[in-house]
Amino acid sequence: MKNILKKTYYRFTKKDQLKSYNIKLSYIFHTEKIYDDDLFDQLMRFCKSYFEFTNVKPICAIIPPTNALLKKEMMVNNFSEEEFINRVNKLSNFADIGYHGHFYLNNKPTYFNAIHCNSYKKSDLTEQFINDINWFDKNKISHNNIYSAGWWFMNQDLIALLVKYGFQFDFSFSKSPYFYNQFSNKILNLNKIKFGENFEVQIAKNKKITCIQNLIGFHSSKFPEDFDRNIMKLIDSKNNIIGVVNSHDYDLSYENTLNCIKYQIKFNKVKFCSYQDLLSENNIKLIKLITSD
Amino acid sequence: MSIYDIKKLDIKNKNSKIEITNLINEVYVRKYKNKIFLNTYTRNQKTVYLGAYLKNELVALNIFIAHELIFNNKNIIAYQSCWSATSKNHRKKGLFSLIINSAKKLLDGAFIFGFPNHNSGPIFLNKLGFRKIDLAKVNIPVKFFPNFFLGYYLQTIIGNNKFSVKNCFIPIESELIDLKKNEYNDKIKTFSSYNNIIWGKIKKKQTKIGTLSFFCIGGIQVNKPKLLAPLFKEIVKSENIDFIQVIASENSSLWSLFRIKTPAPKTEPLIIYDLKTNTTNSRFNFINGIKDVF
Repeated sequence: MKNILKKTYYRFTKKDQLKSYNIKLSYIFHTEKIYDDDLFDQLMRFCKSYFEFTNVKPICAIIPPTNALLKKEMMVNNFSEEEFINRVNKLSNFADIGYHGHFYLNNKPTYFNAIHCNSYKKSDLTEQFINDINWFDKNKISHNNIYSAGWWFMNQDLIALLVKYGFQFDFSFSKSPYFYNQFSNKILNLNKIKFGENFEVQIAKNKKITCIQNLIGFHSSKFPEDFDRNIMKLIDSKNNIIGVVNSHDYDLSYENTLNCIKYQIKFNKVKFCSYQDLLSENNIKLIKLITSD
Repeated sequence: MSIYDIKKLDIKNKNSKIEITNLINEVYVRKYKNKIFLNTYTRNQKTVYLGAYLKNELVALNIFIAHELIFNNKNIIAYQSCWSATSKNHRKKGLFSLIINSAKKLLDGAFIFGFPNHNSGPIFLNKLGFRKIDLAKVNIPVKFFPNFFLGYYLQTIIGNNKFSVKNCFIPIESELIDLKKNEYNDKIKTFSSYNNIIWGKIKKKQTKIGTLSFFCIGGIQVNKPKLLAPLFKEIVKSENIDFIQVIASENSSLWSLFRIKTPAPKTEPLIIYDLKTNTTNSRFNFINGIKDVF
């Protein structure tokens, strides 16, 4: 019933309603199940097809196996760290690798122990973050100084850690109610950041990170027009829109997503870019954050 | 100079556990085995068992449950005073006050709090320098037209700015869930989505119209206030209940999520004694579940 209604509704809506916003997009995967053969195979195929259509690579922000939950899942699936590294290296030929952080209170990997703004322990965050970063260094895997937050958790301590460890691109802030948290929403509102507007966060002199917004989660429906409708709900200015859209590797809808990408290129003239090309050229807002460190 | 010695008991020591259990069973006329420790030993392992000894005999006890809280993005420890017990032959000798006053010097934390009954409440407030914060409550009827009533009682949150946790002491709900599950197992029900958590248990209440069943909320972890309402709907969907009850400290910022609250004069109030932190202008996001008697 819902599909019939949608089909009828979209028959009468314009197909190029986003065209005037000059949208620049990149696709980011929260890559969490590299150990799963089928999912990894699908991810590789998707990255290759994505490149064929857009001429650029998507971003695959990975959880390193130092993460307690991933470690457990790899063990259950009898998947070694060596195999994991091999797969990340393969993936890096077709995607730009980044870091996707999920942190737990007491390093106990359950849903209820997930670190968020209001269930938080700085010492746990710091310890797990450093372990993760060391894993990338130790295994000579570049995260390209890209970060994307697990569960959309972001706060001043995490952003300070990112800056301290040289991260240059963050994809954790969002204006979508499903993604923002109390900290990120406050930052965006206080500084009047518009939907799809890049900004920089400065922690100390010459120490800053560029934040590129996560616009929406890439829907899995068969209607590419859903993308337009969801984006239209969030647009709050006439400015150009720059950002990323996301999905997990495990909830990717292979066919529908590729169809939607083709649709966006064709009707809305959306430009799919590499993460470096998402940097806006001028007038980027600088937000100065005071942290305890 | 008191004839009693105040000592911390180490519950890793089997004899100390026996001493505590025996004293409490004598005073409360119970046959507890491990309940006292399941009820008080939080995963941070900082709970303090403070006893008064006459020679080598434990004659009075007070437990201070160590709760890890978040306050303006920092973690602090606060102690909940509970399980006060004085052996029959040593009552009316000021042992309760002696232990609490010693705790003020010994405990390394932000503040001591409690929910005292009508016996100990006046002593805490009039003799021991604690201050009182009343509790407030809301009962949301959900037996009939639940969506209508939830819509009526719950605030519509636009953005996250209306819900602020500035200067609020926030419990780490997963620590409380662990603690309560130790004691009550599956009776503790948890609901979660979009990084929000609500937990609690089903209770019964006798009224003039019969026995009512309600979901007593033990704690709410809010990370996306705008997406909290679906969790309430999930509770209604999965539990056969007449109403949902929230009892929380009157100054909790969680009340900004509800349209209505009324005083809860029959419920034991929250009492506070500041240790390292001046909490005068702070708010306490404490819901019923933090109580040792939840």
